[in-house]
Amino acid sequence: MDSPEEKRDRVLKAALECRTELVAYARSLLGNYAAADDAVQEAMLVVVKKYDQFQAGTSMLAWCRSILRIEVLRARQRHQRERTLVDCLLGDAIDAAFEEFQATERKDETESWREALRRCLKRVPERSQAVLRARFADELSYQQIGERLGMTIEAVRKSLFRLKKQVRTCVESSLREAE
Amino acid sequence: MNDENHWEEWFDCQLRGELDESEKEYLADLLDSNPDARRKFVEYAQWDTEISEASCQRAQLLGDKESVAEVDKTSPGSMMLAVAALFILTLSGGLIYNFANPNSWILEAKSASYIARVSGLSGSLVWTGDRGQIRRELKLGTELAGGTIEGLAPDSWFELQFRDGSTVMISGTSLLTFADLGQKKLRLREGRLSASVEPQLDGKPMLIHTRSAILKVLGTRFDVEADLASTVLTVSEGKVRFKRLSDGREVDVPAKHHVTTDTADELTPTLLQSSVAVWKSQLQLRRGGYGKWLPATPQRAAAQKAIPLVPPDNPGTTLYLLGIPVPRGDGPPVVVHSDARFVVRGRLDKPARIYFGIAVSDASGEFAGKFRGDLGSQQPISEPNEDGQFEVVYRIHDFTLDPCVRDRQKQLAVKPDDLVLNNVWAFTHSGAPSGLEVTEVELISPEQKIGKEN
Repeated sequence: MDSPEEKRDRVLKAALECRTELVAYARSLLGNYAAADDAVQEAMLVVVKKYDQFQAGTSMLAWCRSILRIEVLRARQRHQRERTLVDCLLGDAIDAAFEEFQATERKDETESWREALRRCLKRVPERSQAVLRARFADELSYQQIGERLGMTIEAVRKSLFRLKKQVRTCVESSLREAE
Repeated sequence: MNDENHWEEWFDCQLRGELDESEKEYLADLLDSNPDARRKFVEYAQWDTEISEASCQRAQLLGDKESVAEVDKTSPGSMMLAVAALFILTLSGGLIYNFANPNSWILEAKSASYIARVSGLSGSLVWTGDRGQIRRELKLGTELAGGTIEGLAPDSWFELQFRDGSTVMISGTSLLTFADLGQKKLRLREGRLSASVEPQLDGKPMLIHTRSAILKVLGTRFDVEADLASTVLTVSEGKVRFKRLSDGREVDVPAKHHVTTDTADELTPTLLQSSVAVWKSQLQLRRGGYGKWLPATPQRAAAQKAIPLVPPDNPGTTLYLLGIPVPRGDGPPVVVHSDARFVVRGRLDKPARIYFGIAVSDASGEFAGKFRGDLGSQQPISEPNEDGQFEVVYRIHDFTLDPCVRDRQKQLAVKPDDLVLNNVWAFTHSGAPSGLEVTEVELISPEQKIGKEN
């Protein structure tokens, strides 16, 4: 029989293993990486407080998502973003999509996938890495990336889509090779 | 953009908040009506987030690599860089191994990705790393790669030094999350935080989030106190930009000023008032920090009730502990003078020895020590009267450094004299519940008489 502390630690550890999935969900609703990351942190604090409400045998990801959904709504209120009817409809549609299709990968699969991703990112040429960094790490818009790197907006857009495709192909083929 | 080939563009724009109303409407319809679009949207969001996180990590690694190159300009350039990069990447690979082996968390901390080092600690603390490791046995010098630190008791204290020399300190029952991916980001969920911040890079101020405010810090010394309802900022040196989240108002708070979110009007920094030498807890108006708050009833005064605490370093012991913070926001700082006394009043179920301690900071908000009023001369057992009430007096003159911070005594004050009072706590250690409830703690000047002296 677990002590309350052991149970809390176990629940929190399992919740943190879903962190990237939760950030993906929060980004889809909030449209901002930093705000999504903050909402996930808030949700983790709720998980710490409510760990005893998690029922063994049910989906940790689904439970965390239900907590995160509330934190996302709070984040919206904090930033005083008025929710239009369209926002509500889109939020509900996104919610339904995640409920239907988001699942936790097995941990060993996730780790080998992420390792492959890191290896593939290293292989991207320097100029293209600057584009990826500007978009993903610095969260710049197409226009800002264009200004920083001396490219047109259309060139930035095409470059990003091509790069993402290349990286994905690289990840998938290196995983196939590993098998 | 409304054919299947362009779905990814729609998804990408949604993830970055770049869709207008009509585009959002289209995307909502698409997701509602097309299961394939729903599946692809979820996959895309997942993939995009993975690549974002990997890019952020890579950007940070490159930052480390660049700094290695800058330091070692005399080395044979590219070869040395390659070795340094390989070293960093190898250690980073170790992170994954360590996650799968939580007991090797210290190895993770030794990796190139650590962002801060524990430079002081005492009391019950729990650290939760970003990757889920949970540790209660933190040590001085432990290197951490970000996460959440929680002070579990009123006597808990923790200081963190970032790689640029900036320090942050939490005390009492506080909850702080910290990260540094090129910009220091902290979240103070509740409790008290003091910081001394080295000048930060242009455009990358240290950000401190609370529930009700955001602070942007370029390089300064300050003290923040946050709870569910409000945030109070006191600036000692430099300047901090303070933003109230409820209405988006911002203000620059200069040195020697403080500001609180808890006003209905303009957000206006107030000049710090000169200090006072007397203080009284007002438990009828606000709950205490640690323990169970019992509001006033017609029959009895409000009280803070002690609750059990098992110290992690002494699991065979149960203390019955309570804490009461001294709020900064609603009055001048309370300064402790050598000839003053603390009077503690409350209730006990049975006779017990009541241990009493205080935490103090210097005028800039920096932690100056924890002191105990019961060690200098053996504290007698308190006998409750027929109503179960007791009164104990502790003279500041008798206060000595708390044993739990003695390993840092060179950096701390010798006595609490002339320092600012942050919080007080009391506990019993009698092997069984004592029913300790404190109804009032009072700091009085030598001229003031207490009940027994009148």
